[in-house]
Amino acid sequence: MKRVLTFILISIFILIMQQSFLSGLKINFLALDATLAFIACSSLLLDEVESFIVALVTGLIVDSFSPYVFGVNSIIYISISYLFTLVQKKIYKERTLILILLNVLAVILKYLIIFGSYYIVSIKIDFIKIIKDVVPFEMFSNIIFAIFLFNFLKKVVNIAFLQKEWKF
Amino acid sequence: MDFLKNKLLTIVLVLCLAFTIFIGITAGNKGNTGIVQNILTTGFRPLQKTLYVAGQRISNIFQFVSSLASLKKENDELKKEVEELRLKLVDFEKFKKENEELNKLLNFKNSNRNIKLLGANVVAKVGGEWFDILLIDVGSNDGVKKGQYVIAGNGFVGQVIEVNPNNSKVMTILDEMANIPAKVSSTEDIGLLTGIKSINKDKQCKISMLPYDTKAKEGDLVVTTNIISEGDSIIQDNILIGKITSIEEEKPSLTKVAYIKPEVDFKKLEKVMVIIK
Repeated sequence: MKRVLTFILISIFILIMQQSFLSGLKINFLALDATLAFIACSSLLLDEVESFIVALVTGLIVDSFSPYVFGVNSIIYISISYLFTLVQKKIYKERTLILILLNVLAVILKYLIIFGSYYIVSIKIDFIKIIKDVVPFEMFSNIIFAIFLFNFLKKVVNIAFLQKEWKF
Repeated sequence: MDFLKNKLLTIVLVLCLAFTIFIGITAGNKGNTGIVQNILTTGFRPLQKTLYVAGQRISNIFQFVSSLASLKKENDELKKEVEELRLKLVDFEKFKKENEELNKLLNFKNSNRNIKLLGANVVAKVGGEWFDILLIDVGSNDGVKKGQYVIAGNGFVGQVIEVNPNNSKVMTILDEMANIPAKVSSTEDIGLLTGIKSINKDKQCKISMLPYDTKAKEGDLVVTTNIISEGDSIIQDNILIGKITSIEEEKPSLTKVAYIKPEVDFKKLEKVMVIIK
């Protein structure tokens, strides 16, 4: 539970940083979704239940800030968290290439879910323009951010009081 | 925990279904009000405000450093610009008229003394890359209502779409979903103002559905119009939105669309005013 609470606090901090600090920086072609990168990284470090709870709480908080629809981010985060916790047992997650591929996959999944939801509820968005102008930059920004974040979260997980005891 | 672990897939699927239904229910609302949302925004506000201002400052430092590198190039460009401006003095009368028009629009507060403005600070930009929504630190306790227009010194910023007791969300004119009625000042042609999605931070907006035979041209001013009323909120007309940069045909609908450079510099937006009365 301590790990879950710690990760939820980190997710809130990252969300505030994204909404206030990063949005204030006027860097062209920076399209970072820091919370998505955080969910992808945390899913590789926590177990299924912990990762699910962190993703659900983060999703609900992000949705509380989002206009128009409530629930899209929650679906995105719990789906990604569930898929990545399944995958993490079968791969060597320390490799940077794996981290890059999973972040690319996370962005693709995110936009598939968003496009699907918006299409269903008839919200008009220029999908082609988003795919052309935003998705590649978001993938790139997320990969760079995730590489640093993953190393940071690994250190957090390895802090003595957050380590899990083995059950034999 | 073990129960959760065993039933995780079922829980994930049920939650996805529940959230999908929730999306359908909440899709029609522009705002997203609620107790949780209000607690979160109120609780995070001081930290958000500090970080937002810090972000602005760091951005300004970056801009200053990058401007140093291009100083010589900028100097040459400025010299060229000075020459061009000298030639443009011939059009003094035209500029004088435009200046009068601008003054008339920008000082609308003086000419409309019954208007009451409420100052506010921008504390965050929410909605990620997806929406252009600003979070401001005034809410229903200060007299803000949904639908009210927001200005920033010299131009139109957007419309209040959601009001909480201590904060509000403002959809800017750069948002694709803005849909605010506007008119071309010189021709009185009315159209619909929306943003243009772009990764480049120099965002523009556009006024669509202009008549095909419109006389609007590059450089014309675009202002708000009170052609429609929204609830009990005040829709103020003649607030300057920006200048037309180009006009194109909208082929399927046989109308024209004009691209606008907004008057407000959204990059440096820290303080805004809400027209509350």
